[in-house]
Amino acid sequence: MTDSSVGSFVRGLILDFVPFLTVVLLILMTAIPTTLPREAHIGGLWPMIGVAYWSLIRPSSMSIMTVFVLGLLTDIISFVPFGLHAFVFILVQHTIDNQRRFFLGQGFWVLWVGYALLALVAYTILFGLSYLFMQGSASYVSGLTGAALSWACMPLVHLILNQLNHVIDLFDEPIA
Amino acid sequence: MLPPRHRRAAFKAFWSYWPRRLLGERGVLIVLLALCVIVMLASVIAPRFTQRVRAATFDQLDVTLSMLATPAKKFSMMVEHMTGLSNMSNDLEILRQENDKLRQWYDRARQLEAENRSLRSLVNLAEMPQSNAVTTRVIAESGGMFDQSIIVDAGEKKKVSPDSIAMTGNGVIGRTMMVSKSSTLVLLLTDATSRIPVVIENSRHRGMLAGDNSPRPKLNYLPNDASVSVGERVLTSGDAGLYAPGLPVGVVVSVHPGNVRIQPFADLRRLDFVQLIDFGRGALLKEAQQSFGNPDGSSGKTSGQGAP
Repeated sequence: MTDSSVGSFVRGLILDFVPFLTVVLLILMTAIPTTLPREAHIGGLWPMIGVAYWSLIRPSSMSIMTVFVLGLLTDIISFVPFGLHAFVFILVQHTIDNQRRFFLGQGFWVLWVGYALLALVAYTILFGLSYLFMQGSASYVSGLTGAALSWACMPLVHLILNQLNHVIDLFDEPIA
Repeated sequence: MLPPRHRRAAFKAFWSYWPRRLLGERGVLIVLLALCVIVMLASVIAPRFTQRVRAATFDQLDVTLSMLATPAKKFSMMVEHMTGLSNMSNDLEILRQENDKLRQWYDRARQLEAENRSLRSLVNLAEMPQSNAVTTRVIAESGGMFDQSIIVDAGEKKKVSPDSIAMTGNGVIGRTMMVSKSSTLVLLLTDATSRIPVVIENSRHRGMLAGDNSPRPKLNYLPNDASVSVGERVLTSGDAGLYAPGLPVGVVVSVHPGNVRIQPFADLRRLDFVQLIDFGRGALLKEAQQSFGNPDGSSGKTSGQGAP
């Protein structure tokens, strides 16, 4: 393997897998035991911040198939029927894909409000599906705490992912 | 073999380009959404398969989750430590008083244990099977909105029995649902599918403790004439299933007509270590079912979902 092919391989790896791995890390974080009240647990809404961010900033690294796989992994980790988060993540990715022109170039506040709406709709769909498939075992209002918490945490996750994106940008330059 | 750049292009074509080329943008979306619904239905119809996949995944992620859980726990403890410093002198005084009381209770318990042993030998009461306990660390917990479960880092390798009860020093927290090689899925008593036969300590009224994903599970099927008051202790009745009788569960915190709620003794928000105890009742039940047969012809093994 020549130097340029090694460089190309590493570059491809970073461009394609770092966004994927950050969402995987967010998925694993949903399972970590904390002392938060159980109703405040965000579940799949943590990784959804990552899915939404990368779908907007690096759509090539967050294709619909990738999002499907990430959704299934979230379902496994979150103890819910498989396909529940995958369904919601695909809708989130599709919505952002359609609204990219609007969102790109907007200030952070617009993104934050956009995410609030997205989180609320995503949570409502999650709740509706869980109501259908899990005999309505969850309470809509108590789960809203989790949705609100994910919205409150979004700036921090956004900031970290933004910094990471700047690093990835360094590798996105064509190799001489 | 293809050079790395071409391999990446081939992977991308397989992963992203060809599905779009074959089905179109909208087609891929519809197919994947339909696939999600099919997978959802399948995982509801075959929950054992879902649990197996989940257990296998947690087996693989065991080390990673333990690594992530340790700093998270330390951070939580640090925050609690900082916020708790101001109350330290008060807490110390309360602990001293509690310690004095506990010493008195310890002496009393020793006396009662000796008395109990001699009375048991007098009436020739059958001994309960010996329990087998495994202490283990919590490495993951469920999202909380839809499910109340935890994953602990002990499984078949540490001889965890699938018929175990999960307890902390304060009381019962749930039961094992699925044991895999190196991890175990524990269903908490607050989960909507959890059912535990219980008895109120003083009045001896029996009921069924039913979780509903809220922090305070509900006490169902109490007798119509049962008078329950706030502050009464609730213990396992041992009427059916794996729970040995007399295990502390919680205390009654609210009483409304048709709605009695209990607060579990164990703090389910702070589960660091739990004990998985097999009281041998699973083996006893199986033996009894084999001896007396099952009226419905089934094997008698509960599916786990909501089994008491």
